Formats: sequence, C-alpha cells, structure tokens
Amino acid sequence: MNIQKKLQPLQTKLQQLSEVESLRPFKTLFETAEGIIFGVRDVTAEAPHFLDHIELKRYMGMVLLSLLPTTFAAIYFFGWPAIQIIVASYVAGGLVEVTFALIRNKDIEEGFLVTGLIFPLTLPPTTPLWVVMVGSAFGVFFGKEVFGGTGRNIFNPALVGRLFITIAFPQIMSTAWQAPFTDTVTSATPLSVYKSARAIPAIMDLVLGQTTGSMGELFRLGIVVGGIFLMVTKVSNWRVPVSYLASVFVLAGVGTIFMPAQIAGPGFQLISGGLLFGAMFMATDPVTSPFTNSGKYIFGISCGLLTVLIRAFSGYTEGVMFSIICMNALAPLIDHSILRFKYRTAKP
Amino acid sequence: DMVSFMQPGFEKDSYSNTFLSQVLPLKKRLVTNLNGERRACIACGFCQEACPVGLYPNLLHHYVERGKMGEDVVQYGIFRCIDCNLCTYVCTSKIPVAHLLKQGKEQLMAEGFYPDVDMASFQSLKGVDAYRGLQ
Repeated sequence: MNIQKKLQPLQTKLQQLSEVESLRPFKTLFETAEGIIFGVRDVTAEAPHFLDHIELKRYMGMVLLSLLPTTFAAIYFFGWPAIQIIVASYVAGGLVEVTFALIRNKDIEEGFLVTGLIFPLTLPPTTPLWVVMVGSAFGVFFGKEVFGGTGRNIFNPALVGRLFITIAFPQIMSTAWQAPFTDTVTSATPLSVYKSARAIPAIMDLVLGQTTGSMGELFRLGIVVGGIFLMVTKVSNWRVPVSYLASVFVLAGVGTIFMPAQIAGPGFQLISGGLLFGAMFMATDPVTSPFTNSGKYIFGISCGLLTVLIRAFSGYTEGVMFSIICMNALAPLIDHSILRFKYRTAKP
Repeated sequence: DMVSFMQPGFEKDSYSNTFLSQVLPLKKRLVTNLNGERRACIACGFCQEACPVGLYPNLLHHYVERGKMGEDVVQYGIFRCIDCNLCTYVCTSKIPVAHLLKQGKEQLMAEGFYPDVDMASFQSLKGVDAYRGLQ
C-alpha cells in the first residue's frame, strides 16, 4: 500500500497525459504504461460480477517464464551475441507493433512479448543483427498485423519471420551454425550429418545442447521442463504437443525399419532439430491451432507426419517450421469440418 | 494492486493454474475488479472447457460480435446455453462472453429463430413448480 501511495502522483500524471488533446496519437502508450504498473481499477458491471484473476499479461508472462530456461541457456552458450539478437528482435518487432497500435488507436496487445522471444531463439547465433531486425519486423507485419492484430492471425508470426529469413538469406540458415563454446562456423547439424553419414552424436550432447543448432533448441531439457510447466498451468493445451511428439515417434519408428537411410530412428528424431521447441512452444500457439479437441489431435498428428516426411525426403534438413506453417493454414478448415460433423444432426 | 500480473497471488482464485493459490490451501478472496483490460479473443479454450453444456463460446461470441446472426449460430447450439456465465468468469481476455451470447439469443428470437421445444421448456422452467410441490 505504501508503494502505491508513493506512486500515486505518477498514476495521476499518466492519466492526465492520456487526456491531453495535443498528445492524442500517443494516448495508447500512456494507457499501456498505466495498465502495466498500476493494474486495472474498473469494477464489473454485469453478471457474473466476480471474474477470474487471469489476464493476458499473466498468460503471456507464464509463456515467457517457461521460455526462460532456454533463453538463459542460449545466453550462457553464446554470450553477448545472443543478448544482442534477442534485444534486436524485440526492438524491431516492437516498433511495428506499437506503430500499428497507435495508428489504429487501440491498446498495445501483449501477444508480441512471446513472439519477440521465440523468433530469435529459432535463429543461429551468428545471424547479423540487421537480418534479425528485418525478419522480426516482417514476421510481425505480415504474420500478424495485416490480418488484424492479435487473435486474428492465421500463421505463427515468429515462424513467418523465420520462413522469410530462410528464403531470403539461405546461406545464413544452412551454413552459419555454430556449436556452443567454440568459434568454428560450420554447416553441419546433427540432422544433416545423419543424412550424409548416418552418424548420431551422443545423447547427452543433444539433450544438454553441445551440438550445433538454433539458439533456442539446444537446451532440450529446459524446453521439456518449460513445456510441462505450460501444460500444468493450462496455458497450453496438452493435446497438441503430446500428439505431435507421439506421431513423430511412431512414424519414425515404423519408417526407420523400411528406409533407414532417409528416416532416422525415433529416439534420435525426437531430440534432434527444433522438434521439441516447435512442439512445445510454436504448435501450441492457441490462435493458430484448431480450438476443437479432435482438431488438436488431427493438427498434432498431421504436423508429425509432415515433419517426418520433410526431414526424410526433401532438400531441407529441418521440417518443423514448414510443417507447422502448413498446418496453420489448414487449421480453420479442420475446425470447420469438425464442427460440421459434430453438429450434423442439430436442427439449423 | 501494483503490477497485478506479476504477483504470486496466494489469495487469487483462477481456473488456470497460473497463481500460487492452487498450491497452498488458503482462503481465496473474491473481488469485483475487472482484473485486466479487454483484449481480443486468443482462443485459449478456457470458456470451452468450462462450459457445462459443451458449447464453444469462443466460436459463438464471434458470430454475435460480427453480427452474423443466422442458421449457423443456431446449429452450433447457441440456444443450449444456460446462462451460467462460467465462460465470462474464466475468460483470459476479459470478454463479456455470456453477455454477448445472451444478446445473440435475443437478436435471434427477434428475427424469428426459435429454440427447440425441449430447450424452450427448459428455459421457461416449466415443471419446476410441480417439482417443488407447489403447482
């Protein structure tokens, strides 16, 4: 209570600033700052007069909390470049997000907090900063804002940004990988080494992150812990990651018997590449995945099928990003079909 | 309260397990605060999980918000809603879901879509007096 009384002048000042006519275009900024620091003072007007204490800031905060082990591992492995890349992504995407909020005269929505952290964690640590900023701005702009902002996007904005960088700067995504604590920049990742030589690195190296890979996918133990934390707090639905990982496990297990040259074994497939990161944090994005429970199972199984196929038979060594983007495009169709099927006997 | 979204929340009840109130068996406090600003629906699915009738409020309230009152909404079961308001309680984005559904039902009845006979009798509570022995 003491702190609130001491900061009361600040709150009054913010409220006054948001009323000033000449600063009308920046009203959103003052309202956002007041909302973050001081919370909401309005009371409910209609039934059911008591509301849950969860709000979008807390929801996104939980996702950020679950991403912290991975982020700290990335910073520990790669040091200052990792911090620079994360900050650059937040700055560039944040500028786009705030510009759109100011132009549309709406609140700055909190979906960007998660996108701004997931996007740099999918990039190699040697990415130049200007590439990170271009990718982040492109992802937020074409992945979210043109569709209408938070809650209306079809594709995961972090994946749209990463897709843009993969297509526009292919050398960065295929030849600029760097293992932690070394200085050599190579093009060898565990998945590409399997394709060329069928050699698998040690399991502990993959789980704790001593191989090459994007910044966020390395510390797989932290990803699993974070993902389970999200599922326990009900922030993400357990159906999508469980069905995604189970389908990869089963399909890889069956495929490796018939075509071991292309399809790696199930255990190796599960802990290599961006699969755990994508399954726990990107496929579970509630806006872009189906909302029906059966739809979530279908989404997870199809993502798993596409991931195994792209990893085995295409020129790209990593299939997680493409499979999630393809299934994001199909998610509304899955929902529509499930609803039509479920309500087929209901009277229109 | 200050920075309310970062508080551990020992006394804050929530459907999602994001507060420490679920860990310790303390008494929860009910407040009539809005507990957050109104945001866009992110399809988190809490309303769908909380609905006792098994509807999809995250789908139905979009129809009402965008004014697309027609056969689709009726087929997806808007008239089966029993106005329990659990969807508004658990909503992460603080959308008045049940209020929108009620508005939608009134709009549909004004346009001539009526619920089934079963649902109408349920909503007018016919037979409750007999059950209570009052008749």
